[in-house]
Amino acid sequence: MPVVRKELARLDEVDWSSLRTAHGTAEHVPAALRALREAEDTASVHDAYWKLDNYIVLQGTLYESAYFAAPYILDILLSAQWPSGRVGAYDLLIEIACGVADPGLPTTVAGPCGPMDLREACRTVVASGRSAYAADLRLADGALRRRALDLLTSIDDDPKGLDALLAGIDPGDDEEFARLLERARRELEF
Amino acid sequence: MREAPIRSQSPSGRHEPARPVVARSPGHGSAERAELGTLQRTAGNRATAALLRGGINGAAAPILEPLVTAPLGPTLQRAPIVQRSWIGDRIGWVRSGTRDGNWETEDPPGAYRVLNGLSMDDMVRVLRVLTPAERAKLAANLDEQGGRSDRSRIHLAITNASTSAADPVFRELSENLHWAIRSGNFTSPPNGAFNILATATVAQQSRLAAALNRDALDALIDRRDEASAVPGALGALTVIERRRGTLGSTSREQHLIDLVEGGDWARFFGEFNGMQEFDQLRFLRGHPGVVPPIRDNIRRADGIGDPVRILYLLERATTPASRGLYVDAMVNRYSWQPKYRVAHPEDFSNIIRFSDLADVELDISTIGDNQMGEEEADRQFREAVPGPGGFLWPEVRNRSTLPVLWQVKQMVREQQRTLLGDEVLRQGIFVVQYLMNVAIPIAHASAIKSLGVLRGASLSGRWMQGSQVIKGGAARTIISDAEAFTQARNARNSGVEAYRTMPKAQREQVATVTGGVNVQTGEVVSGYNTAGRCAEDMVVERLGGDASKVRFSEAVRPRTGEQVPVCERCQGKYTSDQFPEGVIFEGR
Repeated sequence: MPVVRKELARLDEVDWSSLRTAHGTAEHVPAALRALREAEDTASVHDAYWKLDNYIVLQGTLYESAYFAAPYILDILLSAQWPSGRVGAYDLLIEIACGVADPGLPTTVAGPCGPMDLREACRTVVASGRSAYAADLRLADGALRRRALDLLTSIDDDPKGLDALLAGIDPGDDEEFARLLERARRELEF
Repeated sequence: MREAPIRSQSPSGRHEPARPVVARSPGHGSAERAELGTLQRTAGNRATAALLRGGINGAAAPILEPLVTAPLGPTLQRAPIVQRSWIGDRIGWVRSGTRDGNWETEDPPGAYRVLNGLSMDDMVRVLRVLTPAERAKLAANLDEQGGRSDRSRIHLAITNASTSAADPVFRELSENLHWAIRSGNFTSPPNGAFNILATATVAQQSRLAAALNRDALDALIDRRDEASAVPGALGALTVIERRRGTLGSTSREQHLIDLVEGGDWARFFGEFNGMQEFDQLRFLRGHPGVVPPIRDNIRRADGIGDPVRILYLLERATTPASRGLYVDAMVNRYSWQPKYRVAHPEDFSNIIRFSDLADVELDISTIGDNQMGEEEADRQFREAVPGPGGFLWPEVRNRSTLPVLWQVKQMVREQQRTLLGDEVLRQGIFVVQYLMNVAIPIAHASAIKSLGVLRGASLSGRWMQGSQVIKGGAARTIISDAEAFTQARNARNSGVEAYRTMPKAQREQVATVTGGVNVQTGEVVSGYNTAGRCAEDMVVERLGGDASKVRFSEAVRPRTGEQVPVCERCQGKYTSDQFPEGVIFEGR
């Protein structure tokens, strides 16, 4: 499956003002995405991140804007120059992959081939970046590789393939990552 | 699949087989007709038809068309039988009842009356034959017009008849859930209502919620305190509550709300009094906002309805179903003021007061010191009737029937004996009160079904002046905000520890954990997000009471340990001083 990513130059393709977030419309989302893409330090990433988290997804609840923002977030993950920006993108994708629709709101979104279940639509977008997440498991940056592991286990629609992938990962001296890797494999086995 | 324990009945209310309709033909022997009639009465029309066609195991008879027997034996061969089918009759009645808006009359048979007498399988069969528009009309009128029928069961049948026949798994799941609610099994695994909901996928939870009518949804919501004992059930209950919220009010309920809001109490109590108890409770449970004004105006029901009974309904509607309304079981705090309503300054008051909702006064001298046999006491307990405060009271009030209140009486007597010269007097006798808290030795949320549990209750008392404890060891003082935030953080950290031991599927659902304390009660809990609701909401819900008395910790994302800013919605619900200093408030 091709990676479902969109460059930020194409932000205008989405009518953000018509999309719902946890607290109104998604008009502010393009600016937040740009800020995340351009953030060079942890503080800027934090500011940009929390203008997306708590809005397109709020404490595990997905809103329809999450589906439309996900391809841009994936693009930020794949193209950001600064690790902190990539960490923020990973955290957003994890929240989106694990989120569920608000049962009090419509739970479908307009996908390319008609209405789709919001959760499934979001997971499809996130899962399309699987090979990139797999590559990040071998990075030296512990924060990034831990998140790559979190995201891969969150979209475990191919447990056997994931187990085989994880079996080939050397945690090195990163004890925390080694513990998480072991737990992930144990849970896959289960 | 299980079936609700309701026997099939004819629309006339009698349990009877379908009436055979046999066409008589010239020259047909009466013995042969009798033989055929006997066969039809004992085996049923369809079995008889199947037999005539070629055996019981043959194809089933068509439902709607008249049955014409195929040639078989020399005797029966000559008997052309034209009859309506049993199920075909019912389809016709339901269809005509729906068309004519005839819902529950006996003759001609109303649509709900017919459906009410059918098994779930037969009901679904009948409903599947109807058009979607006919089913929609049945569903739309059920709450308003089906008051004498089993509405939740009919609602479930309509839902399942409208779904694919190739989805037996969901049908079984929904019927198991309905059965669990009906049979009062909410938490016993694997088929307790909350167990079923907790193990269902989110998509299934939404469908299950849609398959339940107001009554079934209310029954689940009413058992909220039991849901917390089943992992994952509180999240499912959120789906249930949201579904209930979308159903809105029936036109009758809206009319009653209008009367309450308009202050037309004479008409309100008149109409409310004429409703069936089931519908009264449904109205109150579905519209908790009307309860306080009704309670405040209860005296206006004098001469129209029975205020005590209405208070009882208010209590029932606002009390979890897992708790009884027996006064000894319900009340967990009593107060006594030494000089309250005394005739002479040297006297001590005999009046104790209790209940947060409706202040009830009771003269403790009305509780006898005598005892009675256990059997008779239990009978008094079972046959208790609504009384002061809307609680259930035994006819005879004594040590055996009201073991907790009798203990309260002893504690008050003891204070009366020791009060003079006591340090309490130095605090100003008119502003102090003696508070007695009751602890009942029973597992959380279990129903109190006998007096035995109440006899094991223990009381602790303390003298209070305002919010300050003057004397008494078991008192819990009101805690400061600083202490509250510390305790809230501890609770949150415990929640994060619990997260780490959760299986992967549960961990993925937890995005945020927080802690909270009610500064009035000192109760401390942790909470996490559920679908559509923040962790803060769970904390408030678990603590109960006044949300403004809750102090929260900083919320954290357990996966990363990072602080989760307070979202805009929570900023609208809770004030900034309910959060510790330095907490992050989100804003665009």
